[in-house]
Parts: sequence; C-alpha cells; structure tokens
Amino acid sequence: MKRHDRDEKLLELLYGKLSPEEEEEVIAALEKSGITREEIGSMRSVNQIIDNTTMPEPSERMDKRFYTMLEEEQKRALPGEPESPMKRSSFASVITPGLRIAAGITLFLLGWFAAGWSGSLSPAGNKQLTNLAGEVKQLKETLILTMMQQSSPVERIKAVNMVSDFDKADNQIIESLIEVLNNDSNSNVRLLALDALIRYSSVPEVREGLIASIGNQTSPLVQLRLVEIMLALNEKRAVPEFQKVLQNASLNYSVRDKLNDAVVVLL
Amino acid sequence: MIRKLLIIASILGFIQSETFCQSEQLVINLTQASLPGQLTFENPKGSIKVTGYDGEVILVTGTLRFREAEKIVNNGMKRIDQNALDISAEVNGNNVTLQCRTIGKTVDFDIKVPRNFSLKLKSLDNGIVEIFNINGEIEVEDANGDITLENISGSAVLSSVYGKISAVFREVNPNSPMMFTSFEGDITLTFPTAINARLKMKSEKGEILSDFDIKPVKRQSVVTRVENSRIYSLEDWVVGSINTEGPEYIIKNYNGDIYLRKK
Repeated sequence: MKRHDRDEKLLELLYGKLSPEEEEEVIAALEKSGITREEIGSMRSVNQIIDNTTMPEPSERMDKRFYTMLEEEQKRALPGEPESPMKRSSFASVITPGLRIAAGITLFLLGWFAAGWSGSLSPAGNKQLTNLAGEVKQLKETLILTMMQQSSPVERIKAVNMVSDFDKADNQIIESLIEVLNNDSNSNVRLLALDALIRYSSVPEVREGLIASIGNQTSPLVQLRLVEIMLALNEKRAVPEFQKVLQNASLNYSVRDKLNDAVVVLL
Repeated sequence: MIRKLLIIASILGFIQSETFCQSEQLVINLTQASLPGQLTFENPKGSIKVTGYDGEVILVTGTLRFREAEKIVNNGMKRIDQNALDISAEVNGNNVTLQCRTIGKTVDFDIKVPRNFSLKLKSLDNGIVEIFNINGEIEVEDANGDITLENISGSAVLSSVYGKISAVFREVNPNSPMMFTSFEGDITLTFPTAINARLKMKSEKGEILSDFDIKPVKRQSVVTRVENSRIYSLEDWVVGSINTEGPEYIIKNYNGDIYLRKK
C-alpha cells in the first residue's frame, strides 16, 4: 500500500501534478532514500523532453544534400577519368577508380538508407527515445487504470479526463471506460465516461458497449445523452434496448418523450 | 500495512423526548482526530445534515421524522417503541462508514464531524442533504432532494435528479476538478473571485447566468463516424475560463438554470 502510494506520488511529481508543498514532501522523501535533488530535476526534464519530441522524418533538405553530394562526386569522377594516365596495360588500374567510386556511392547509399530508416543521423539515440516515449505512454495508461479504481470521484474524473490525451486509446482503456459507464457508483462519473467514449464510437466494441449499457442506466442525464448519441450514429440496434427502457413505469417524462421520438426516427 | 480497526461504537442512547427512542445519538471516537478523515453514509430514507465543528468525536443523531403518526394508540393503550433506530458505524483508521438499517421509516440525520473531513453521502429517498463548514472533498448523490453546501473549502462532486443544487465555497482546491449535475433543478454555485477554472456548462432547456467574467474558449469540432462517412459538428458544451485556465468544472442540467456567483 505504502509503496504503491509512493510510486503514484512519484509519477505525479514527474508529470508536475503536485502542489508545491506536496512536491517538497515527495522530494524530501526521495532525498532520504539517497536520490539527490539534481537527479530528480534531470528526471523531470527528460520526461518533458520526451513529451515534447516528435519522430523526425528524413527531411527534404537531407534529400537535396544527398543529390548535390552525388552530383559533386560524379563531377569529380568525370574530370578524374581523362586526367588519369592511359595505362590500359594493367586491367586492375583501369577498373580501380570506377570501382572505388561505385563502392563509395554504395556505402553512402547504404548509410543514407540506414539513417533514413531509423529517422535521423543518430539511429541509436533515436531508438532509445522512441522506446522511452512508448514506456511513458504505458506508464500513463497504467496511471489512468489505477486512478479509475480510486474511491475518490475526483481521481476518477481526472482519470477519465486524461483519456482524452490519447489519440488512440487501446482496448484496456476502452474496456475500463465501458466498465466505468456501467458500474461506477457515481452518476456524474458515468456521464463523463460516456462523453469520453463518444470519441471512439467508430470502434465496434465501443458501439456494442454503448448499446448494451442503455438498459443499465438509471440517471436521466446519462439516458438522454445515450439517446442523442444513438441518433447521431444512426444506430438501429439501439431500438430494442430503448423499447425495454420505455417499459419502466417510473421513467422520467422528458426521457420518455425523447426515447419515443428516437425510436420513431431510428426505425 | 493498514491497521484495521473495527470499533463497535458506543451507543449512548440519549432519550430526548418523553417517549422511548425517537431520537438517538451515536458517538464515534476517532483515534487520530487531528488528521483528515472520511465519512461514508448512505441513508435509505431521509435527510442528512453534516456540520463541521472543532470537536474530536463524530456525533450522529438520528431522528424519526413522523413521530406523531407512528405513536398509534391501540385499544386505549400507548405503544412503546422498540429500538426504532438501527444505526451502526464501522471505523477503519479515520475512515468511518455509517449505516442505518431501519427499514421503511424516514430517519433524518444530524451529524457533527471534525472540520477536516471528506464526505461521501447518498440519500436514496425522501430527503435533502445539507453540509456546513467542511474542509475536504465532498461527494453527494441525492436523486430526489435538494443539495445545499455552505462555507466549504475543498472540492465537490454533486448530483441530483429532481432537486436543486446550491454550493458556496470559501476556498477551492486548485488541483481538483468538480462536477455538478441535476436534471430538473437549478444549480447555484458561489466561488471566491480569485479562482482559476475552466468551465464546461450546459443547460438543455434553461439559462446560464454569471457574475463572473467568463472568457469563452473556442468550441472544438467533434467528429462522429457513421458507417463510412464522417460528420463534423461543434462541441455542444459552453466552454469558458474564469481568470486563467485551471481545473475543469462541469455543470450540467436539463430543465433548470445555472447561476454562477462571486463570493
């Protein structure tokens, strides 16, 4: 429990989510365990750099540079040939300059492709950076999944809001959002999870999850939002679910009106 | 390791009126009263009023709402109540879970807690929720009744269906998002002038009125994919910020109005 807390605090520190007092507290605790303030600083700056770095593509300039270099090489080679003494006597001496140039160009090409593939002139460093960015994404996902389990609704709201930082959420995140939509104890958090799921409505699992959750919802605000979403998606499979909800005698009258309208439109 | 501590709270059984047990008091001793704690309570039927005070114990008073009606006289004889109220508390460190197992009767609760307490309250039926003088995180769900918060420092996540929501904050936690929703009721929120927040609001049928100077944030486009086509529309929330950008406050209702006031 304690270790878990500490890990979470550390993550929050790296993301700069702590208040100055809390930050001091965590840093003090870290210093006690033998990590200096400078080390923490450098960890935080690395984290920022990773966040702000995008994958470099081989640029146009690099293309141009290559071709100008190639041209230069060819020019150099062309005047070189007539200058070279006409020693046709030896086979090797005729073939050597050409071979040299060819080998040079081949090597250059190989090098260029290698650099191009890994995205920069320092392939090793870049690969590390990509790995690190992946790890940070993983960490963030773990953080979200942990926060969704917290008993405090504020933490769960934060977690649901953090999902919008991802362009593409993976299955685990989507599953847990659907889980929150169906089972969270707080109706506000359920409503927020529903709003977060709209972004991924093109994913078939999300569609099915949304349709399946219609029958589970008791909050009128969540029910109305689901009606709106199903109408926007023109989702006919929602109709039987809506009809089941309509059989509930204690249904809110505004929701009942909207549901009746939606059934007519979708059929 | 957490030291799990289950204290069987002592029932003092105050007799406050001339008849038996219509109002009862439970006293819960806290081992570390100076530290912040949390109170969780789900009232099956009835109101909840929580007041923060400078004491070190939690005082829970439960009162039957319809005393006279239940004092039926049968064949000229007076009925004696048999422990009408069944209240218990589970204490785990400073986390207190209160339970009321009285079935069918409406019981109103008046609870006093140390000021630095977070609250997680639900009234399932026939009651309102009122909270005064608390520093902490407040979560309230009361589908059928009003929710009123006063002199609060911290944050709140409140939801009702048929009730009004009114909350007055003395201070807000600068890192906490908040959320307020009701379906039929007005939502009135009072914040200190200097807060930083990003507001996301929507009242389907009502209006939004504000004392604050809210800077509108540009609406974002939302893409919906229907079969093979994409539909672009604008976000349907009203988004704006008070002072500089801060945590997100989501305020939503359907039939009521939204009022934002300066303290």
